Amino acid sequence: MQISKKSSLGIVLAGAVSVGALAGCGSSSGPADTADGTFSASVDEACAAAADESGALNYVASTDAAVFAEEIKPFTAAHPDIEVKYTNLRSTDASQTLLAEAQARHGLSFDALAGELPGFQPLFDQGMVLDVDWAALGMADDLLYRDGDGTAFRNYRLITGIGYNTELVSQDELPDTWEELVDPKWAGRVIVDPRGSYIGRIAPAFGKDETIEWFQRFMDVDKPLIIQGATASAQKVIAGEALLTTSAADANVRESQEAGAPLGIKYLDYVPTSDYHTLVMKDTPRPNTAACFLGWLGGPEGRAQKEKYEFQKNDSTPSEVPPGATLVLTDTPEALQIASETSDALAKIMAG
Amino acid sequence: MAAPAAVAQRAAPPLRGRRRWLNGRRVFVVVTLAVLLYLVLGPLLVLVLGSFQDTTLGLVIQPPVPWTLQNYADALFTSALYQVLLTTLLFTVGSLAFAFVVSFALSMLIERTDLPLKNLMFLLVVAPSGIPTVILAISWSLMVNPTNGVLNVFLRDVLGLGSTTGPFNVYTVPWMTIVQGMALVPMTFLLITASLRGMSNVLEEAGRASGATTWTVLRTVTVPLLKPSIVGALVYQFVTVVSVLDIPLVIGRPGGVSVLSTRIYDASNPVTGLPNNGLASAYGVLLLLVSLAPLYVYNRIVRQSGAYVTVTGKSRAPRLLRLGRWKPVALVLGFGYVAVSFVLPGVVLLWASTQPYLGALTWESLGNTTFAAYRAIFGDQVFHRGLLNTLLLGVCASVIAMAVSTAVSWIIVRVRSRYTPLVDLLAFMPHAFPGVVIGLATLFVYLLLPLPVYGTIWIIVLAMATQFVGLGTRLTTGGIAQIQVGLEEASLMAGGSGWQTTRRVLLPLLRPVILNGLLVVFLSSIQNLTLPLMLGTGDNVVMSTLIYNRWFAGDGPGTAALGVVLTVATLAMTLFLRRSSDARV
Repeated sequence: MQISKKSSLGIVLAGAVSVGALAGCGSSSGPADTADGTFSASVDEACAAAADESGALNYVASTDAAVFAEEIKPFTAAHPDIEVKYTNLRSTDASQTLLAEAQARHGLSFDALAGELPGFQPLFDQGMVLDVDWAALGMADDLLYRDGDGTAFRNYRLITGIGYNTELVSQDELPDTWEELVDPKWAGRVIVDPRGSYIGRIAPAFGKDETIEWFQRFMDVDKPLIIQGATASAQKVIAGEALLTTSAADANVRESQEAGAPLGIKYLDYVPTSDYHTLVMKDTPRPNTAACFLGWLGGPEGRAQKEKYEFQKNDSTPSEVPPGATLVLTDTPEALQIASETSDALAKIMAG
Repeated sequence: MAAPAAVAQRAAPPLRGRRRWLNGRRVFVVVTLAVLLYLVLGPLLVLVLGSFQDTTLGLVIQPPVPWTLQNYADALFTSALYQVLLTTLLFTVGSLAFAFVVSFALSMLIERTDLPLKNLMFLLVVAPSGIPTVILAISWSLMVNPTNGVLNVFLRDVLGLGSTTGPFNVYTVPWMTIVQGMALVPMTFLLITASLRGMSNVLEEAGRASGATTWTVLRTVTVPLLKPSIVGALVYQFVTVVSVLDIPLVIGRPGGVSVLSTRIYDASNPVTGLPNNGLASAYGVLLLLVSLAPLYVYNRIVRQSGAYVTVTGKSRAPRLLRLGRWKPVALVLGFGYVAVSFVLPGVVLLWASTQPYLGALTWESLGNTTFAAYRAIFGDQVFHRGLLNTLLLGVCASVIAMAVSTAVSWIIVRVRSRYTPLVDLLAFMPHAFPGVVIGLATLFVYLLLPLPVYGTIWIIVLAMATQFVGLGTRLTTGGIAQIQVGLEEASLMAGGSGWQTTRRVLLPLLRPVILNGLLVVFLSSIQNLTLPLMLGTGDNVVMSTLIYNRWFAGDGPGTAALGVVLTVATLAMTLFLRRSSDARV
């Protein structure tokens, strides 16, 4: 049988439903209480005003959901009327969803987000982040971050060192500097992340060109195993397949040690940091609820809970950093840019 | 599925009835194609538009649109492309050869011989698809890593080798190819075995009766009759291997091996900012173009459906080939394979789930056994919700995908039109689309359409059904091509309606194919990570995202415990569907 012209037309019309859906307009976003894009209130004021805001607070972070539920129990006990609806997503995935929703002029699924700033950069660039007066919510000056009209506060800081198997490598054998890590004795037994992001973060202090030049020598001499992610890297070191990893962060190592794993960490002459920030969306219909919750999360009780359940600290200068070592910060857009460009260059070297 | 009302012209029933079935058939064709277009056009549009956009700030659907050709330039002129293409070619050909030889041999043993314990073997061949890739990678690195891999240490001790590394290195192209080949086996096996199970062996028996050897019958009868299914599976798995990421990332990358998929991944996942969906889309368009030639060949084969008919009015249950003295050999080879492909990683999975942390696989580590990871996940409400969502997702996505696939395949095989190859192309397209493209398209479609599925499990179900229509049609098209059109005609001539013919003739004959299809789509859906990550909220969490999040959070034992649950779900569904298809013991 031939498909008739009428049938063909029907098919095309039916197909156009989905095409039309892409070209048409959706529902408009909900009303915003922060019309000028700024928000300022104390925690008490925000918590009091939260009673007038309806619906659950949609909060995104990359903590395990069960751990998060335990972590915020003191808050939910103190504020039984506030429901925090949690979604476990990385910053890039959450940003992608929010950008699509904004394009479709749909209400936003998430009110507040926590994660790495580079993943949130498109939200800052699009002016979608609320300018919150975090100081009014009790955050110290050194926790605050501003990019354009948007602000965020740091809710934990990871510091990176060399992770090592404590049963196979003694402290004496370990390098003290990144330069000493370039050594054939580690050939094939040291791990590097293919994204270059752990090592790229030393560049704001060490220099972009210097970091790239050092990394090329490191690749030539140490011939590292290229393993993505801190978990997989730690597993290989604990299992003894590799001796060292350059993808070790303090919180992850503390967590492994708590479980009894033979994993140690040593900080070298430059100590890179990874900062994780929290922000509120400009179009949220619940700015007070968000401020109330985040004021608690970034305050003493929230920080203590985070350290208890996730081993993550928020000290600006962690006590573990050895004397004489340089703590490399990426707490400004400029420093982030240098770290990102360097990481990209390192990733390209590894990709060949 | 709506019913095809009738078939070829030569079987026309009386005039009034004929007009009725012609109308019914027309409606059926239009509705089926409308559903297919609804599912596929959105992603196709996003793929094409995205490939010509700078997507640094996400896909843009409101003007001004940042148009660019840079994505194609980046895709075509990437550095060391030819070296990467050569490695990709070796990897693809090797893993496909491995998967098809093993899958065909296992399918023949299970469906065509008197091998004992064949249901158990069927179960164990399919089971590895439930094991998370990270655990598979850990299993292989624990066994064959060059420094302290269990197999390497054993061989060094036994052979007295003086070196501290080797003799094997899992992080090389040959091992990557073998591991990928094994990873392809469950799906390939299900794709082939469905046709073999539904195929009558009258012609094979005729061959034997005329004095042909088993090998001759296999070469001149069985394989040619299975051509639509084998070529369909080959085309599908070719695209799978070219775009597969898991094994190349976790086994190839540590050794510095790059294939096209890892190159695309690197290029489209910058260290900062959003994934470069524009570049991923450009690669998707190119992959689609590359798939056109094999798809064309496949379509030509299917169009000669009369040549592959084995299910006729004279068919009867196939007689099993007696293995005789080869039975022990077949058992050892069959179970030897499943021991390596499933039992080994399965043991590592169980071991990992009962450890406080993931370390070396040693006897001493058994002293650390704990069930803390299981207590943690079973006590977690999110896990219960995730498990329920996963089962719902697997069942609903597979039912929708197979319903659409069966209807589409019927049109491809039975409707004589010059446009039917286009229908097959449309159905196949989603398989060549990068997952992120289907995810983004689904996101936009249901953000814009006033349907209450956004943020629910149903948006993932629809995205998954779209993604796997291509998989379903590889099975159903070959399956329908095997069924003689005269059976449907006879039903209509006897006064049966289109729906009655579908329900009482077509679907029962397609039963093995549809059940295998339900299983492959179920397994593919519950394993898929990209779509749930892109369409995920706190309400529609599924097991694959839970596994990913546990691993991302550094919880190796928790990841493994979830993997055990997923493997058990895989085994249960496989067993259920196998029994439903009237398994022969």
